[in-house]
Amino acid sequence: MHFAWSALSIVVLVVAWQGAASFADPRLLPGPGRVGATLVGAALEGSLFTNIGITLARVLASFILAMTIGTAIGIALGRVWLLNRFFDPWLILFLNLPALVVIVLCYIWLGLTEAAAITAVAINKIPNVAVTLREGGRALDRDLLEMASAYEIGRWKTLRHVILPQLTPYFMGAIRSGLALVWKIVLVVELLGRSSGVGFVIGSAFQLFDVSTILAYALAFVFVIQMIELLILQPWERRLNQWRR
Amino acid sequence: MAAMTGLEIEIAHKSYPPLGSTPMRRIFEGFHLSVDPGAFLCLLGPSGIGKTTLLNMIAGLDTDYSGRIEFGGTAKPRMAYVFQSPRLLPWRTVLENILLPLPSTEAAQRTALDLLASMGMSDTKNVYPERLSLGMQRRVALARAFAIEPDVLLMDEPFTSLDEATADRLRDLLIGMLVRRPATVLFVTHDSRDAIRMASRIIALSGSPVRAVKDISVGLSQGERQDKGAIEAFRGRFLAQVQ
Repeated sequence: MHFAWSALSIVVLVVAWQGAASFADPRLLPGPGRVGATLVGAALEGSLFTNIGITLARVLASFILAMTIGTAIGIALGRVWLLNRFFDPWLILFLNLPALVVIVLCYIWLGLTEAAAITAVAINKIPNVAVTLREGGRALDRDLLEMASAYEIGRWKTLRHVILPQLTPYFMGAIRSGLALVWKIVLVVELLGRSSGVGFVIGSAFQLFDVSTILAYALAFVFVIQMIELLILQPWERRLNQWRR
Repeated sequence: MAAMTGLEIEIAHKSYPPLGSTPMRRIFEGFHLSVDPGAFLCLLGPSGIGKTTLLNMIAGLDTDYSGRIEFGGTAKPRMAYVFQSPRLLPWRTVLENILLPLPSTEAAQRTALDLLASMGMSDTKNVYPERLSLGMQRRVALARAFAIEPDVLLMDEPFTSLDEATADRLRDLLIGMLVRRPATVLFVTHDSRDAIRMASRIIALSGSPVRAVKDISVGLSQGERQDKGAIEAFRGRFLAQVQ
């Protein structure tokens, strides 16, 4: 039933798109048919998969980097009052720093390299992860931490069995908002300083006024991100939450 | 059998800092307690006078005091703590909870499974704790404590909020476990019947700072401890004015 509604909603959107396209200049707003043909063309030629693959690899690399560093910072700030007191202004600064500024500075300082691209995306995401995980760090159950300490189970087991499971909801929140944010920033990074990936293709299409390619790549990438949500994140979350009543 | 561990407790000073309008509270002032190896010591007293604080200091969870706590026999005894609430990890199964303080070995696995079997809980080993009744959760907490084969067992009102029949079964279970695997027990309670039923020695605590107002050794036989009348008689004789 839920699926039927989603399908209907998408069909209505496509019909509306077709309707709008039939009134517009086809160069400005190509209809679903033309975009579909561009998509199939790019897929057959192989460039669609190569570029999406490259972009996904960049998303994954910067995402893992940002989640790891952001989680560590977040837990530390949530647990140690003094650290939080001191670093809070830094966090606010980085939260409000425009993505574009970070990207441009990384390219200037590190050169037009892959490392600069991934660092720039990660720096954009780290403050968000840290803020979310800081809340999780503050909300840790003291009783269970005392239990872990009384039984002397050690740091690693405490982290793995006591702390991380409590952070799961915060972690999933950071991953959700993170995925949406990171892939958008990756496209900008690619547009500005890479010669491959979805962002680069969209940049070239912009030069050529090729709206059909822009829409084809955008739709393909949205589809891929949605599949990650449905096929990886949701089953994973269900598994993590199976202990809940 | 391993050498038993006694305790020598000397708290020179322990206080809680003032909080809002409440003034500073002196909990312990020159408090001394010595516990024989293998004793089952019940600390009896009203809520809020510092019994839990004392256990936390012994367990090393609270280090903000002046004084010393020494363990006879071993420098660092194995210590288990059964808290007032079960404090199980809700995201780990019963078996995983019992395995938590153990090294990850085959032998540990066997120990945990044996414990569950001896408590009649084998069928719950893959269940998440929140799906169990409170009585069962307390049983798991007890199993976790015995899993590490403790020299010293700290228990903080471990049988509260249970119906009388369930609490009684747990008391029998505890005594049974201690027969098989003796340990020095410090058992905190506000229920003198609880104390008389199990303890070899009862210390009644009172006041602020805390003093031991009574120190009684309980010489009842196992049979008498099962007998409600005998317990009431003992209570009348020794503890009437305390509780």
